[in-house]
Amino acid sequence: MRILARHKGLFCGGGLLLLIFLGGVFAPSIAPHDPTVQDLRMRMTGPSFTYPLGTDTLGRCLASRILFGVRPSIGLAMAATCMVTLAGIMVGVLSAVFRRLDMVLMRITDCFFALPGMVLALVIISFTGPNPWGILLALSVPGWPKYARVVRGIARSQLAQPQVEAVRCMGAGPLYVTRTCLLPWIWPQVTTIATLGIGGKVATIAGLGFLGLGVQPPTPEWGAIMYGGLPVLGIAPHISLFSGLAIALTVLAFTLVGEGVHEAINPLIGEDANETMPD
Amino acid sequence: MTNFILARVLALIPVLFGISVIAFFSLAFCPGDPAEMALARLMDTESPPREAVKELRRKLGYDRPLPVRYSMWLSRILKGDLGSSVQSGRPVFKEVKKAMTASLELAASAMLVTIVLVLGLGVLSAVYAGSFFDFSVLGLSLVGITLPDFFLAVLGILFFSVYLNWLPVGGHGSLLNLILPTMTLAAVNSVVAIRLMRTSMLQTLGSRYLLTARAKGLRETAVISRHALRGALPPVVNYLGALTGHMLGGAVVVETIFMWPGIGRLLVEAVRSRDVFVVQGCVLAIGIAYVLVNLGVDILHAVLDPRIRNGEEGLDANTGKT
Repeated sequence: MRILARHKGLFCGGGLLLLIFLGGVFAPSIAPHDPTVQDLRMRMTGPSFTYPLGTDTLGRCLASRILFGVRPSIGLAMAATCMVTLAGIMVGVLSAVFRRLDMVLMRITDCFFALPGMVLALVIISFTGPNPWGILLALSVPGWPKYARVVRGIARSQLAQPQVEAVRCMGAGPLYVTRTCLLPWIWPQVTTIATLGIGGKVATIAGLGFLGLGVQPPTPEWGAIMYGGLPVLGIAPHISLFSGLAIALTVLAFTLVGEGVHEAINPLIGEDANETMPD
Repeated sequence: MTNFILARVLALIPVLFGISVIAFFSLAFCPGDPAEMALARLMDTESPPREAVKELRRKLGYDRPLPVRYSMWLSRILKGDLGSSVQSGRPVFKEVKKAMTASLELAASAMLVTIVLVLGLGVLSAVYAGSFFDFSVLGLSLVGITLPDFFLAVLGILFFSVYLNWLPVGGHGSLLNLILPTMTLAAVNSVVAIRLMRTSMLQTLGSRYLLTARAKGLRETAVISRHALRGALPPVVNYLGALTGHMLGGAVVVETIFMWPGIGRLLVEAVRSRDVFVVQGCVLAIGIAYVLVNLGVDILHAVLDPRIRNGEEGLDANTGKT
């Protein structure tokens, strides 16, 4: 009970996240309708018993579309976060261990910081096209420099420790040093940023969908649903509002869990780890 | 100070090189053959003759190795020739310049509002830490971090344009058009800065030099506005600088929703219609804008914090220690 009280945010966010996950996994069995079936007589109706969240401009069930929309959003966001984390750790460790590479790798990360994430994502989409692999790449490329910087910082401060020096003096290779001396220190920090990062990626996926350059129809996607509701905002605001709310709640859940994990792992720091660079 | 600025300018060179490489790649790796596309447009046919395409490719140097093509491309860019838009036929340089002016308007007004919010809310919530005001600012900033910019934009349109009918939904030209996009951009971007300002101010409020300021009889407002604020500003200025750079190009979604003819919208339109020359022009413009803004911020930072221009490390944004 005490743990529950101390980590309120973590448990609220975790609960919300669990609900969203379950909604996505069991979407086919709990969705009231097929998300792609149109009923043109029932266009843009408000919430009712048959359509719990109303219908969109083509008379499709909004609740079902939002439930099925969990899948591409969460799936792509988590896959991209995994890629970004691995790439960031690799670059960060390489640049800390091999000092000659450091200069080059850090200048490369500087270049990626100079372009906003959305701009880089759009550039990548411009030559891959809006297919799932392209979107995955578009989400991953802007993300890794931040992780690389953090990992490099931790790795460098660890490499300066006398016990690590001792391990190296006994002839341990860079792989062994990384595995035993660096990774245990890197994981906690990276887990925190990654959890916070999934929320940001969900928002980016929705942003791409909103621009018509994300997950393509007929797959229901939150950003695209929201954009579809924009021209009819005056007469059927529920389309944009409910889909936007789905995005906001998912981001909120990941933010709460991320901050909760951060506080639980690094109780001494207390402040947000994420606050030094805008995305 | 001159040495400091010179060192900063020199440090820009690798970053500018990197941006140019990214822009070059966006052109070199685009799907479809630019020579074929250009010929198709020129001859008004779907499939131009193979020999003609081959000839044009050789003429444009597309059959040469990448480094050679990069240097050819760079010398062309440095002369200000960015090619012309496939869509409109106008030179990309002019289009980008026009869009950048519009983006600059939006970014400047959004930055102004952000600074007011950060100075007002951030400082006050630190001064009255633990009060109801502080609590509500923190709560609101959590909401702000959670809401994506496009959702906030939709809420704004719904309330101010549809429900109250006070403001236009989108467009460019009058001051009224500027209000909604400015508010959206400022609200989304100021939240983290407000939190940073609060943290930094709280750390400064604990320092001893303020005791001196109070001991010599200064009024509390003077202590806060003249002494504490100056100590607390550097990390915030740093953050706001990076933010300005990102607002200049990263307002892609906000510009698109409000039909603001800025660089972000130009980029989206170009990606949608696969207008590769415009994409490359936008990337260059956004990258260069970010780099220049950051140079300006670094100089401002050095003015604020003398330790930096003397080559010492400044206040760390996270720990508040040197």
